[in-house]
Amino acid sequence: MSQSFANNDNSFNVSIVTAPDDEPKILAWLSPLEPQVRHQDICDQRVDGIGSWLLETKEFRSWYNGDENGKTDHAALFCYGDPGVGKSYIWYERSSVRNKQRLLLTAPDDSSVMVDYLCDKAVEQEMAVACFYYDFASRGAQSPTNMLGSLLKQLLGGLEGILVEIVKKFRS
Amino acid sequence: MVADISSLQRTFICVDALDECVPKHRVEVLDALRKILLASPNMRIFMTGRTHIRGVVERGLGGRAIISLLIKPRDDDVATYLRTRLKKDTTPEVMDSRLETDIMKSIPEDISESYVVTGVRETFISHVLIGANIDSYWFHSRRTQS
Repeated sequence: MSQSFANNDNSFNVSIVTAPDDEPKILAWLSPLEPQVRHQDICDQRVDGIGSWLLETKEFRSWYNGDENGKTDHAALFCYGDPGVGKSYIWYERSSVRNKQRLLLTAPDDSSVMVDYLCDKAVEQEMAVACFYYDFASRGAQSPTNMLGSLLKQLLGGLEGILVEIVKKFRS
Repeated sequence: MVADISSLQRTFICVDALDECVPKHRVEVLDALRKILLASPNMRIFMTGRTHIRGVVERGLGGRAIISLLIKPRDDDVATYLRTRLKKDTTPEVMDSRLETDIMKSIPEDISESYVVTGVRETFISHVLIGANIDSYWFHSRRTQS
């Protein structure tokens, strides 16, 4: 069973096949990486409430909301700083509600400012969120292919199916 | 394909610690993210990394497409963290209001002084923010003194 989607804003046409028998193998083939592990580590260590100031900055608002015309040059936000200032922890804030249909990378109650904010919004709106954590210790496995495959795998988790194009490539 | 999926819904990609990526891989990944942004008006990308890669990231994402924000530890965040740790003190019987007040005053000052003089702030803050055991570093010495 397949389903087609088209978006009025652009020319994409995406075909999805629902729950193929080999779905677990296909997902593993896309990327062996499991960012949930690192995510869980950070969640466990973070103190709730720290870093929520980020959501009030004009930089965040510009990135998230776009400009007044609905179009923005700032589609990417880069938070930088010295070692140990808490860059990884600004991701997390507490959330009690998760939309598991749209977020493969689920988190416990204590998690990050940014990801949690986005996940709350994902519940309210039609949104998908995917995360990746670089780590010196995992450099060998974190190739660009595996990294992008990991993002794709997470985004597929919100679709209740797999892109036909991916299934074809896996089976060929 | 990532761009294809974002045609179905608003999509956010979050990438942590880009400075820990192999440099040649970082260039490839940034170029891929730049192409995803170009192909996908529904996409937003959030990244973190150390200061020294800011130029590489901004160039890689195509200059105007990116906005950068400096992250610094805030005094109120440090205070929030300390209060939380104090509540979880494993030896509350040796805590009193004077010691608690002293901790809440001295540690933030100590962090600031360390930063100015020796640049140790980053190291200490990392322990504070990631939940290292303050008891072993600070509380014990204070209790020994008292």
